[in-house]
Formats: sequence, C-alpha cells, structure tokens
Amino acid sequence: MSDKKLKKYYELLEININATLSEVNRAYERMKKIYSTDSIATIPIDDEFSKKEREKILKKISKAYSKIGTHILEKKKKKKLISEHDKISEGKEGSIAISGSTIQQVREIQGLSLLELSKITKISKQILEDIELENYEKLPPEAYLMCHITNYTKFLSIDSQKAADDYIERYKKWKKKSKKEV
Amino acid sequence: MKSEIWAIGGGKGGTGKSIITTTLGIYLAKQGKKVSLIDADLGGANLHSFLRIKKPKKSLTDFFEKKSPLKEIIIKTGVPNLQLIVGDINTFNPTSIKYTQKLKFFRHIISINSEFILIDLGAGTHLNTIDSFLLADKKIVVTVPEITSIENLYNFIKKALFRKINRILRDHQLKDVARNAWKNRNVNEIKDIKTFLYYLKKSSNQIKNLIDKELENFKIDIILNQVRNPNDIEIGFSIKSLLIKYLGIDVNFSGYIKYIDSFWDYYNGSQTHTSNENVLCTPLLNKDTHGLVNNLVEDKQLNLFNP
Repeated sequence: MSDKKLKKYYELLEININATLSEVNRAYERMKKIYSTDSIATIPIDDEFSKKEREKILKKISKAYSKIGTHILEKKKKKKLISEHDKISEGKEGSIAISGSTIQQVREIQGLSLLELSKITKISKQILEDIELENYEKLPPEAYLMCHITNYTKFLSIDSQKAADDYIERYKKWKKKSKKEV
Repeated sequence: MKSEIWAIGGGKGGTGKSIITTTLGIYLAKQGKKVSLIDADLGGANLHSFLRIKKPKKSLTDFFEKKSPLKEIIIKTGVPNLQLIVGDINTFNPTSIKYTQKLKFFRHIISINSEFILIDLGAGTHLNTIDSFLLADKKIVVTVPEITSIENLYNFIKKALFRKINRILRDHQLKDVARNAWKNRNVNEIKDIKTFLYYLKKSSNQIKNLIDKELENFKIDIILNQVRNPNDIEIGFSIKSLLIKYLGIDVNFSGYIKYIDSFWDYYNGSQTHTSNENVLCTPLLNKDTHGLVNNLVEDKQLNLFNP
C-alpha cells in the first residue's frame, strides 16, 4: 500500500497517521455512529446530504478501517519477527489452547458481566460476546480482533498474548475453510 | 506588524458569539497580546456591555456617518492591552451601508495596530457579515447543540463558501461561468452548493483546480457553546465530520464551553458596578476556555479521544 493511499485512509477516519489501534477503533465506532444514525447534526442537511450518500461514505470508511487494520498488523508482525528470532524454541506445543469458552468461564468465575467489561475495555458488548462464543463470521478484521482479545483477556488476568495467538490461529483456520467453501 | 484577524460568526443569534469574543479578547490581552475587538454586529451590538462600558462616546456610527477613521473611534477598556470599537448603536438603519463604505471599513480594519483583531459578526447571513467573515485569517463559528442553531450554522458556512468560490472565479475572469451556472440551475440540475461545485468542476480543468485549491484552504473553526453533557460534545464532532465529508472543506473542532446556569446573574445583578476591576473576568474565563484559546492560537483542535 502506498503512503499516499494510507494517508487518505487515515484522513477518512479523521485521525492522525500515528493513531494507535484502539484509537483507530474508537474513531471507526464514532464514524459509524455519525453516518448511520440520524442526529441533530445530520437532520438539517438531510435533503442534500442524503442517506444514500452517507451510506456510500460509510462504505469508504469501512474499507479504510480494514486497510488501516491490515497495515498495523503487518507492521506488528515485522517487529515481532525480529524480536522473536532468538526465542523460536519457546513454542506453544504442549500447553492447552485458550478458547472462547475458557475466557467466558474465567470471566464468570470473577463475577464480571459482559456489560461491565464492555465499559472498562471500551469494546462493545456484542463483540465481547461474539469473541466468547467464537462467532467468527461476526468478528471484526484480524488486526482489531487481536487488539480486542489482548485488551479483554488482560483484564481477566489471562495470559493475553497466548490467548490472542491461540484465538487468531483458530480464526485463520476458519477463514481458510470458509474461503474454500465459497 | 501584520495583525491576525479572527472573525466570530455562525448565523444564529443568542449562541454566545459576543461573550465568546469578549472572553477570547480578555484572555489574549491577559497573556500580554495587544488585542482590538470590533463589534460588527450591525443592529445588535453589545460587546461594550459585556465589558461594562456604559454609554460609549464613540462608535461605528461615527465611522459610517461622520467618516471618522477607525483609529479615532477605538476606545480603551478596563483590561490593559484590550481596546474596543463599539458597534453601530446609534443608527436605526443598519443595512444602509454602501459597498464603498464596506471596502473602506475592511481597509481600516487591516490597518489597526494590534496583534489580534477579533470581529464579532453578530447573527444573520447578510452579505456584509459574510464578507467580513471571509476577510478573516481565522474563521470561527459558534453554535449550540440545538437543531435550529446547527441548521443556521450550515447555512452560514454554505453561503460563505458560495461567496468565496464566486469571488475566486471572478478574480480569474470566470465570473460569467459561475453566474450562468447558477442562473440556469434548474436546467443544470444544480440543487445545492455541492451540485453547484460539481457542475463547475466538470466545466473545465482550470475551474476544477481553482475550486479544489479553494476548498482545501477554506478552513473553519467550530466552537460549541452551552454544552451540558458528553453527548453534546459528540454533536460537535459530528458537525465537524459532516462538513468535511459533505463540503470537502477543512474543519477544526476547536473546543467547547460548558453551559453555565448562573451566567446572566453575573451581568444582570451587577449594573451598579462602575469599577473596571470586574471587567477582568467573564463567567467563561475558566479551565475549558484555556484549552480552547490555546487550540485557536496554535491551530490545534480538541482531542478526539479525550475531549
């Protein structure tokens, strides 16, 4: 992706090019809200800036969001490749994978509701639920998912790095499979 | 010394333009900047009241009727570094200002010796108001989170942009293109400013480049007044985003001012004060305003993630 294109994507979300992943998320949520719901800001120009046009913008914003996500993920991967070069032997074999239902169990043991966690983590309740139930088709793109799981499990004192890695691995398998089926 | 001109408008009356102009002026003056306030609210001038100046002897009326130069009608306020040109409070026919008078007015404004010149435009979208707005280095609009105010705000900005684009085309001997496009708007399927710009941009590459450049440079600073809760602040972000995406202009959401319940008590109850000591403050001079003024001076805006 060219820098110029990337800059445009950030501009569409009206954020700085140095924005963190969670900032990108919040900007996207805000944009979605502005362009998909009526408010006292949209109603006065409803006739000229129609719903249809706003939907078009929403589509562009979604694309920008997903592109930025991929970009950030790739950047992270590159960093990780370098830093993990020396510790290849510390594989994940042998340990039990952390599943969505494990996360749910841990949360319930701690007596926390999805709503409470949603408020703390600023991740929507629906996404948290979809993570626990492993509703892959409803989950956001990989980069965001990774960020969400890391943030979420951190609050539950789960090894968040492992939880995210395990989860993404399953998510990727599902994605591959569902692509084949299509 | 070139002074920086800030114009404060927005279309709707009663949104707080005058008190905000006063507050910004006092704030900058307190920082040691030399500031001149101009009350260009033709027909509704009251900056002097917010500065507790009773029955000012000189006003814009002298400029328009007696042809006194602006420099001679500037008066001191109780705040060091802050001077004021009182609005046209003595005429009853404010729209009678002639075109040549207006140009003279603008020439005189530019020649005022100050670091900052703040013009309170008052309400409405009269051509004189729009032209003063376009003259400014910083185009500030004030709105409150109410649908009527936001509606007038959009209108104000659209009118200003329309005027500016027409003027740019006129400066490039393309006046007729714009005029004919608008005149035949029904045939040309021009319904609003967006379709107007779209039509013009299609007509030639030269015009397209001119308009694109103008849109990029057309910058608005939004101040949201009378904020009562976090949802109101979100409205500010919505307005900003919609203006960017709909008109293609550059917009800063510079900041907001919280609603103050006892605001009018501050002025209504203290008519007997004659000491100018009281002038050094307005109810809006608080923590939030510091951020707002700094954003305006440094051309920054409200933090999206921590407003």
